[in-house]
Amino acid sequence: MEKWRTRVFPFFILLFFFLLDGMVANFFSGTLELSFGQIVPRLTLLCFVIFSFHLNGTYLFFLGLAFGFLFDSYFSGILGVYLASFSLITYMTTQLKTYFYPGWVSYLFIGVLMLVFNEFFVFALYRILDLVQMNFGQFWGNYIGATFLGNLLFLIILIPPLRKLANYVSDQGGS
Amino acid sequence: MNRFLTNKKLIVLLISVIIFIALVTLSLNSAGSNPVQGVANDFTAFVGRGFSKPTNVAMDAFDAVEDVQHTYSENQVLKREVEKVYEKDAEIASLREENDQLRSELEVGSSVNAYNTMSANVIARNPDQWVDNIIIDVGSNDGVAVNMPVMNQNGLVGITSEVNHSSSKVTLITNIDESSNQVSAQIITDGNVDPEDLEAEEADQEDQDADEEADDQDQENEEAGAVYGIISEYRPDRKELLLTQVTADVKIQEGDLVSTSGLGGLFPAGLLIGQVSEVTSDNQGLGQVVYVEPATDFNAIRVVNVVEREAETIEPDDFGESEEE
Repeated sequence: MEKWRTRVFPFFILLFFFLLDGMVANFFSGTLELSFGQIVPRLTLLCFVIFSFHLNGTYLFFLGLAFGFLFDSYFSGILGVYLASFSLITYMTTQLKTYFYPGWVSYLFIGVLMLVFNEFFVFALYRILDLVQMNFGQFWGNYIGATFLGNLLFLIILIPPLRKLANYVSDQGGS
Repeated sequence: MNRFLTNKKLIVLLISVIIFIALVTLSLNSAGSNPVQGVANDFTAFVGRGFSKPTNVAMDAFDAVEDVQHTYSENQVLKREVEKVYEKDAEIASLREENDQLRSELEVGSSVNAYNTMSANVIARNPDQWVDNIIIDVGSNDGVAVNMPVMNQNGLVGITSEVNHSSSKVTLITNIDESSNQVSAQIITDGNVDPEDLEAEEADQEDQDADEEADDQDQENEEAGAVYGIISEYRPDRKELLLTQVTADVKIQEGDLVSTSGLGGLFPAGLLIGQVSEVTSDNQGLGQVVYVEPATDFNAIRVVNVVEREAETIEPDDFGESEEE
C-alpha cells in the first residue's frame, strides 16, 4: 500500500496531466489562441515542478525519462527531445529546491524558469533538426508570451491541489 | 585522465548524450514507430480514449445548445438550399450513370476519384502547435496504413504519418513545408480564360507548330475548368495555404474551389481543400501564387475520416526520388 502511494500514484497523476495536455491542445485549440499568440499547455511540466519539492529526486528523474519518452513517442514521433528536456528539468529542479522553501513563490519562480528553459530547449532542437520552418522571431512573437502567461495562470490554479496531492504521496516516502 | 574517468557524473552525462543522439538519429531515419514505441503509443491511446470520449460527449452537448440558438436562421437558409440540392442530385445521378457507362465501354479500372473511408475519433493533439499532429483511435488493426489522406466533414485535414495497432498519428496539412507533405491540387474554375492570354496563345499556336500538342492540352484543361498546382506552404499569419506552380495564363477568381487533383499518387482526386482567397503572381512573374483559405477549421477537429484510395498508389521509389506529396 505504501509503495502504491509513493510510487504508483505519482505515475498515474502525471499520466493524467500528460493526457490532459493532449486533450486541452485538441479540444480547446481555438480558445488557447489569443490575440498575441498561442498558449501551449505544459501541465505535465508544471506537475513535475511541484512534485520535485516533495518526491524523491531519483524516482522523479526516472519519471521524467519515462514521460519524456512517452511525450516524444505519442505526440511527435521524434524520440529524444522531451526525453532530454523532462529529465533535465527534474534534475535541475531537484538541485534547485535545496535553496528554496517549498512555498508559492518558490513554485512560481522555478516553474517559470523551467517553462522558459523547456520552450527554448525544445524549439532549438526542433529548429536544429529542421522540423520547424518558423524562425526564432516568429516563435517568440507567436508562442512565448502567450505560453508563458497561460501556463503561469495554470500553475497558480494547480498549486493548491497538486501540493496536497504531493504531500499525500510523500508523507513517508518522499525526500 | 583517470580523474575524468572516475567522475561518475561525467560518464553518466556522456552516455546520456550518446543515447540522446542515437535516439534522435534513429527516429529521424526510421519510417514508422519501433515495437517499444508501438506498445507505449497503443497503451497511451487506450487510456486517452477513456478521457476523450466523455469530453467529446460534453463538447457535443455544448455545441448542441449553441446550435439551437441558431436554428431558425439556419432553417431559413437550408430551405432555400434544399431545392438546389434536389436539382444537383438528379444531375449527379445522371452524370454518374453516364460516367459508369463510358468507363465500362472504355474498359477503365479504378479512377483517381474513387476511395473508401473509415471513421475515427481524435483523441489527442500534439501540444507543440508548430509540429501539428493529431492522434486518432484507429490503427493497422482497422486497415489504416501510412500515407493515407485524412479528412473531416469540411475538407482535407492531413495524412497519416505513423500507424500503430490501435492508434495513428496524422500530420496536418498546416505542417506543410518545402520538403514534405506537399499536396497536388487543382482549382475548379468556371473555365474563365483571360481573353488576351487566349489570343496570345492562339497566335503562338499558329507560329509554333512544335508546341502545338502541349498548347492543345493546356487549352483542354482550361475548358474543363481545372488548373493544377501544388499546395506547398502554410502561412500561419494568414492561416492560409499557398498554391504554387500555377500557370500564369488562366484567370483564377476569388471563391474558386481548390481540391486534390489525384495526380500525386497518394490523394484521390476531388477531396476539398478550400477556396481561393487571393491571387498574386510569383517573384519571377512566370506563374501565379494562390492563397487558399482551408475548408477545415483546424482548431476544431474531433471526428475524421481516413481515406483509402482505390486506384493503385505509385510508390516514390518507382520514380526514384519524388518529393511531391
